[in-house]
Amino acid sequence: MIKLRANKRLQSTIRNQVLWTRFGARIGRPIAWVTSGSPVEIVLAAGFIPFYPENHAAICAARGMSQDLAEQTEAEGYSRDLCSYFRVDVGSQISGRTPLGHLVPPDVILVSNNICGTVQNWFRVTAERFNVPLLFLDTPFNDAAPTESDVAYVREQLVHIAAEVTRLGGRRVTEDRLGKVVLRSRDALELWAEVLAMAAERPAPFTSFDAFVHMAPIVSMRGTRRCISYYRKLRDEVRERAKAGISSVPDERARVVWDNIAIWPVHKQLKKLFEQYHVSLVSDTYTSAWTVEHLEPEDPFTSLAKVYTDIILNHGAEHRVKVISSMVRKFDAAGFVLHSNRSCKRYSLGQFGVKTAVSTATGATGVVIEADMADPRSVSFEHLEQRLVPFFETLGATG
Amino acid sequence: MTRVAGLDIGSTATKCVLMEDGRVVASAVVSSMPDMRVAAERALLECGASGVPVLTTGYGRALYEARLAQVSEITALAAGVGFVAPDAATVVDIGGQDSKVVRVEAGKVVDFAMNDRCAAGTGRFLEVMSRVLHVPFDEFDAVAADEVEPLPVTSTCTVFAESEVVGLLSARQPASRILKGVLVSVCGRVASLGRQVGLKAPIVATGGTMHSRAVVRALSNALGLPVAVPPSPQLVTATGAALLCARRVESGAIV
Repeated sequence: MIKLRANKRLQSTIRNQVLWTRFGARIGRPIAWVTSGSPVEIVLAAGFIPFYPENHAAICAARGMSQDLAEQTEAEGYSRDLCSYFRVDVGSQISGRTPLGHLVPPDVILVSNNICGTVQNWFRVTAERFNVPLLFLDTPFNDAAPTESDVAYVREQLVHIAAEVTRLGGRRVTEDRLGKVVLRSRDALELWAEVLAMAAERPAPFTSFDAFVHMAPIVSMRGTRRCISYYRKLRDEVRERAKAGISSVPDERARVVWDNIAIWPVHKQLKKLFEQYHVSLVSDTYTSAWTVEHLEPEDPFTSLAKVYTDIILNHGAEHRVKVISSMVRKFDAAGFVLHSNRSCKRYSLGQFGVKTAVSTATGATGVVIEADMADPRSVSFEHLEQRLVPFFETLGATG
Repeated sequence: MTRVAGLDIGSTATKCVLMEDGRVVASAVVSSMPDMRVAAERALLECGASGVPVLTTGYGRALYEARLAQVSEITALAAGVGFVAPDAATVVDIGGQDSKVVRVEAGKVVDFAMNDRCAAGTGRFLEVMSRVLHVPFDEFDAVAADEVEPLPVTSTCTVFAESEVVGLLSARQPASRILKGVLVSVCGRVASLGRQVGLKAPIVATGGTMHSRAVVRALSNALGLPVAVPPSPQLVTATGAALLCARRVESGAIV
């Protein structure tokens, strides 16, 4: 098994991003804390440096700090039933502990409800803690694609947000300036889409376990030149692997698709289990959420309005059935895993129905596994194994 | 002559089946406690299966180191049902530590659902209640098989259900009605599990608990469909393991 060279580069890229944020703050660049589904292009065009609390929570979870931090938040009276990313991130704010050394406080906070309702409250609590302005983008929930009036409604808010970030210490966000950032976002998103699409090769040269970690720059650095250069190198490396027939798992025997966020507390163990059973995780609804089309630098506000409203989590279960079914077909998968994520209600709602519908549409076998993206107290590897091993065996993969 | 063994190392009991040219020639059931490794050796010895290729399954399947291979109990159960009840479309298994519903086709898994998170709906729940009620498992039928007025036992948590049962006993409710209520509760949970994968007839029920007519009747009522029980319901998974072992030996996969 040949490891990706990009793994090392990822570490230094993230480290540099953290250092850049710190340095930027020191030389007076304003900082914006944003959700993963925020129109970050606007704050970038205004000269802000973005920071992603969700991404930060995932890093805390992957480094084994999440339980401790979550308990800090619970001690303030927040329920354990709330999102673990919220509890981990707020716990870090309370205790000041973070794997990143220290957090750079925000000058402004930007939140959109296109991914869930929890972030809306999480970021409001955060804005109160730091006593900074909160900018909120409301994206209407839709069964499938956003309507014209949805787009017009969201566009109008984006124009307001652009004016606000300028008023709050940023540069003026002209269409031209925003268009340039949108173009850089688009370039990175296209490269990322290319990387993910190559998992359709047999054997898969890159799996979702790789994507779960290599998604960090597309989430937190899109819109920058460094992001483009990161994914260009990654694309070239994965292309090389595909040509050379290098498989991500040894002796690939089965291919499956994944729904929902990764399970960070047991990410490595799970990856190993898949490898042990020779199963490639070829695609997922999570990392491919950052492969949007229709970003147009010529009309940046309208296209941002479209793209940020047209997000998988902002659509109903039927849409998800379509997305997963098309992944199963495109990546030639025999099965699919639905992670029922205790922390992410919007992502996990209706999964049993989704399972039946995808199986009926594609003939693929599905399994629902119960866990949590960040709280180790709600994750039992033993139980995950209990479900996954018979599922793998059903697909003809043995250990 | 091909001699192979299937060893199902479960949380409560360890089951062994010895097969010779596709026929079951010996079987053994021993308690898994206190040491699953010892239980495995004993079960093999009782079957006269020492030195024979063994395929293991069950929670303790990795503990028997001299195994030829191991598979999950879902896969072994499906293979076993394919052998003892080839027409079955759905298998319901209530084991000591979990319960599972498996949709099968010709000895292969089509879909499955399992409850491995909560003791309610498993044999463990019955074990706890049997102790509180002072009704051992082999007296379940005499006490509750013909009871028609079950008392509702509604707590999901086994610990709270236990205090619920204690409360019913102290209110001088008859053990037969309480026990029947317990069975209705367990089987109701298994039935809702079954609806996740779709209950397709004919249905076969397996696991040691199916030795009780009262359990089978409560299960059939909960599912709303007739349930068939093979002659040795506790041995179906071990039989499946033996069959899969024979297949591997014959295909020359290992050995």
